[in-house]
Amino acid sequence: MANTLSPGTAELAGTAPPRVRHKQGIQWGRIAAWTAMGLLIFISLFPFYWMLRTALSTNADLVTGDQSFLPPNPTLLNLKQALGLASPEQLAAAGTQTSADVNFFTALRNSIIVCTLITLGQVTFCSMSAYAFARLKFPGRDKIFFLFLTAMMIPPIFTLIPNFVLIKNLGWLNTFPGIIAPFFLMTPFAIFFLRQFFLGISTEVEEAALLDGAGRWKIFRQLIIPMMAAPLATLAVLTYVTAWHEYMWPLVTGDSANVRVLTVALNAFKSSTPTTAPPWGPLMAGTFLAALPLLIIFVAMAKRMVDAIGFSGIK
Amino acid sequence: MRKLIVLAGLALLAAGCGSGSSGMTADGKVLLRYGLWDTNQKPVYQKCADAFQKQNPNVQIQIENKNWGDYWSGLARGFIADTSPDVFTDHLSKYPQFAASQVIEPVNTSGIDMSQYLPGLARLWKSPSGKQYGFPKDWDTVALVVNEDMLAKAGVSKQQLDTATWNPKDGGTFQQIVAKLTVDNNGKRGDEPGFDPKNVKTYGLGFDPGGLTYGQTTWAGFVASLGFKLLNKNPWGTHYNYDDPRFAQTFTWWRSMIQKGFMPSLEQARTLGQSAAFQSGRAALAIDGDWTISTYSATKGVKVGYAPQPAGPQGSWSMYNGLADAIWVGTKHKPEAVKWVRFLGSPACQSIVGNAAVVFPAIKSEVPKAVATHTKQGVDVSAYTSYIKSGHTVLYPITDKAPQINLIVQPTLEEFLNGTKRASEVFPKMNDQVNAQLKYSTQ
Repeated sequence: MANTLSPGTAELAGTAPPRVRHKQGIQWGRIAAWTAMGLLIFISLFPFYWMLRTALSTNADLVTGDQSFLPPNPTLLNLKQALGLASPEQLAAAGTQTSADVNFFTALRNSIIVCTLITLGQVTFCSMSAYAFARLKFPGRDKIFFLFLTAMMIPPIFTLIPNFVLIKNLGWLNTFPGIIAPFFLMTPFAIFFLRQFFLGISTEVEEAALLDGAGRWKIFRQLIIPMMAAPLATLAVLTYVTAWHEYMWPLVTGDSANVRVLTVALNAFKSSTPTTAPPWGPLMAGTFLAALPLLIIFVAMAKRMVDAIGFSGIK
Repeated sequence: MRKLIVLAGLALLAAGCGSGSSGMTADGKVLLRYGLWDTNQKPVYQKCADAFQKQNPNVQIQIENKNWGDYWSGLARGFIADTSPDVFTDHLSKYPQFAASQVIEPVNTSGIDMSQYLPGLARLWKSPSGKQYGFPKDWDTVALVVNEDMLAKAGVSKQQLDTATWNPKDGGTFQQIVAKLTVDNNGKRGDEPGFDPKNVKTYGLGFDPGGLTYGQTTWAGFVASLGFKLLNKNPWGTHYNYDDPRFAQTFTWWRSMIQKGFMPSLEQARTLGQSAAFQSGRAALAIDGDWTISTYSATKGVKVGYAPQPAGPQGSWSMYNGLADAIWVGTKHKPEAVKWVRFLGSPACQSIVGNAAVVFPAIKSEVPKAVATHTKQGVDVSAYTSYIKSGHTVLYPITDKAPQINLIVQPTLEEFLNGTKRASEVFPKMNDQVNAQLKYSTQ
């Protein structure tokens, strides 16, 4: 993220004294920087465009291997199918019937419930523990924090089976608590992330509050949290996005229609018999629709996120 | 903030209470979940379920569809998580492992006339220890799907295709027909000089690369017409014969068809999907099973016909496969599940299956109903039934360790198709690896 600021600054600080700006010559460095940036933007956005293009193509056109930039016979049928608005006859004609139903709106609701609860839980509990690790003094604090950091190194796939057994024994399979539980209380990353910010707050502010008779809890709630709004919002967005993309855990613990989240529901567009290919059009349409909420969140929060990073830089 | 925590906690509790699974419906009936993967068959089995519920008013059948691509992993998760459907459609390539790991119940055959089924089908579901793991509910063979308009344009009559011959050396008249049906982007046909195999518009023959291990819709029929048998005995063979020269010749011929441009490459075939390629006019012929008849016959603006697989030295052959229903050991409603499975394998349900004609029912007396329905819809399915009459069928190969063997064979055959290695360098070695798996058999 910090890189977004650097090309200009690096160019200014590094090579070029200000007078270069007055010269008529071509600024090769600047052109190279813009080209590199354009290329990166292209690399990140083109797959997204191609997803959209596939979503708007008919299955027949995809099969004939048409590579044109725009879909030859644009259609909204795939989007309709993903939303469950297309009739079986239309799908049979388009050749994109599937065995399973994606139940888009139920899955969307489930994704929102799961991600919102995970985000609320993580931001709440991680900010408290990060504050404790940053400010409270208790025996073994640094050792415990080191343990937390070590936990960051454990690939999640290792904890999949023990977690699964635990959730199964709790009887939480195919329930929201089962899907949410492993992410609800904390992730080491979130604690690490927030602790860095808390360490940056000057102790004098807190000492002043302590002198005024405020307890730790009051300081945390009324002083620290408002000051930390931007990093907390950043963490919230990051957590939400990660939770939205989570596939493996919701797949193994919540694959019944009433709790199935979007990533898992997209399985409805896998190949429906052993001898057919997946219906690419509706699959991409569903993927596009599933990505939309994140796009909206990102656009709404992008400025705050950059602010948060700026904040950390200034302090 | 505290309010938020309380809210979150409440939401969790509420969500937790909402979704318990007792296996009962709200009005106190037994809820029996039934797993299926084929969407075309769902309405058919819904009718069976309606008939069953009429006889058993205390039971409600809930059909749960999943895609083939997700069905088996979903079942595996269900077995472990105790959330599997009570009864599910089982496949011959999967049940030996399910039986070995004791996740499915054997069925009791007493009181059921096992001779009502087409010969051979019931035997496929019997384990070496003599336990029956399902009643046959349908069967399938494989035939050529024909775009008759393209056939006419190429100057080939349906009769010529029906009586086409094949051999692994030059492909016989079948290869000539496929060559004629292949058209490149310049309009040149595959048997004309100047044909460009790298620039093909319509392939003479489609290709379904999914199940190369047993070649159900690829090599199985061809190699069977040479008298080849993949296993020393079937079911429950203990030795594979992938090192047989007849297999090598057939599969090398298959690769030559790709290299000549008459068939799509592995990569193309995989992304296109055979039925989609046929429906969009990218392939003039396809080799596919009878469960796809409705898909192919629905092709818009094209006259679709069916022809038997080309006749090799020993005639026209097909793989012969069938499905059955399995009972999950963890079901809370075993008596009802048993009743439902017996009903699915009975004439009462199979007559419904026959009349719907999505697949062919396993009970002999019900097969003509399916044929009649197809005829009424203007589809001649005699290509699919011809093998039953002639007896030219090879049963789906059943051995222990099928998943592990598939992991060896499928990638090796794919690599062979993509490469230039000689069969003698590849297949004997692969066969040794496969047979080594069976040394540690658990059955």
